[in-house]
Amino acid sequence: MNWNAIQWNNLFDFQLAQDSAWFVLQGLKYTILITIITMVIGLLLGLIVALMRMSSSKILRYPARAYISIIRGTPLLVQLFILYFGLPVIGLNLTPFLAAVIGLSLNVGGYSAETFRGALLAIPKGQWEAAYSINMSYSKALRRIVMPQALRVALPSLANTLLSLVKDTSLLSMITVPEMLYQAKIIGGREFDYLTMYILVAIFYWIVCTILAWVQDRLEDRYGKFTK
Amino acid sequence: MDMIQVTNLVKRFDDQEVLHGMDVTVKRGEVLAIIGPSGSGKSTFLRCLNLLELPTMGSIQIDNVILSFQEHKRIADREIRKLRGKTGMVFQSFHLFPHMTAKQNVMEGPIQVKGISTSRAVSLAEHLLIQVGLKDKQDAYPDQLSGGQQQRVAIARALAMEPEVLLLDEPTSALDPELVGEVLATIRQLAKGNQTMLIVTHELSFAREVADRILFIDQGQIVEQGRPQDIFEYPQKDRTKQFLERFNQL
Repeated sequence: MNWNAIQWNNLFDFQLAQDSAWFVLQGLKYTILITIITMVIGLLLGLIVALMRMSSSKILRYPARAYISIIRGTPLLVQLFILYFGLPVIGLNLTPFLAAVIGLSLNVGGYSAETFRGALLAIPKGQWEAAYSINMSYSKALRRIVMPQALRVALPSLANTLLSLVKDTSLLSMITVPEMLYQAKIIGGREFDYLTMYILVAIFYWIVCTILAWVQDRLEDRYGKFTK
Repeated sequence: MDMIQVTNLVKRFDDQEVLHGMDVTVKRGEVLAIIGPSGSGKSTFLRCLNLLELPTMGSIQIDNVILSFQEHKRIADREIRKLRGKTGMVFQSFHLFPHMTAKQNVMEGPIQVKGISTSRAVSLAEHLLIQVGLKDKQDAYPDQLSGGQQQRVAIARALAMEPEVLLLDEPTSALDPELVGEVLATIRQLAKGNQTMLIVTHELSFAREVADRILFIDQGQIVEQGRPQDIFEYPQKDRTKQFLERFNQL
């Protein structure tokens, strides 16, 4: 390889990156908004599905298993395509934003269901029994005793889910949600320099994820152990 | 009316029968020690009384609540909790809630289940922690307490629900020998205070000292029962003699 022959400007054009940073960052608000909405909906969904999956009733258990299997067994991009391009065929027209929120929420739900299930199973049976022995109901035992402990167990995995979600929002460019990658591609096409724009987007994602990882560390310090 | 009347209690796990029709009566304020070899069904019997294990057949009456059991008959949660509300349970390995302080552990039931005010729950919890000698540890988390201290908090947690009957399932078996004494002292004090108690224990000398009556169980059946001095000094059945032999040699 001849290092002197490489045209570094073709790899990363600082001037272009600087000039288009603001335009790309317009997409960040979609990244953040969609991440927050889908994380909240997805976690609620995941918890409900996890409890269904652990239920003794087949009517609850089997749909939960099927759902988890479908979500984990098919590519997210394909799921998004089906929602956005497929549903209009049966008369359901979703806006890109709505398709994005539904698709990603279902995805987070499927993965976090397994995280919740694992975390709930990690709590010793004695904790349930102790809760029952002071005459708590199932839902109160879950809410007051088991869930607070399970959340601590689940926290590292849920943080991973969150980071994946942030990065997966880039797939939404494929269904015309104007998030960061979508914005970057517009300029990349106009300036015939996609690579600079992709690297710029990568840097922005890396910064967002680094901040979130830092928050995760703080949370784990705070809630990782059962003392003050 | 007796505090507890258990009639023909049968418990089966899958196809293995571990309790073969037990009849037990306990008077108000009585302290009953249940002894027997490992695997005899004594813990299962205790766990049937607060329905952590659902009996297969038979009936249980505690105070003014009666429940009867048949195979394949579902018992409503409401019924289970009515009976369970008469009991408190102390476990072999404490099972304190690790995310709560000692005081919060004791307050949890009264506030969440009985719905009493926080201020009343605080004074109740402090009172009980004084009783078990742990007022100075009220803000400690379980992992900052010794086994003996954890078990005493667990006793306070059970008492906070003001149970008619306190069930203790091998309360000292998981403790280092030097920590057993403090827990036994707490139980002894409760026995004097007229609390009805059923204690499953391997501490035979303690059982003899604190119990009003001893129940010797083997292979899911009551072999013999009676006053401590009768059981320990004049056991009638060979199986009882054999079980107590090693103890009496000490």
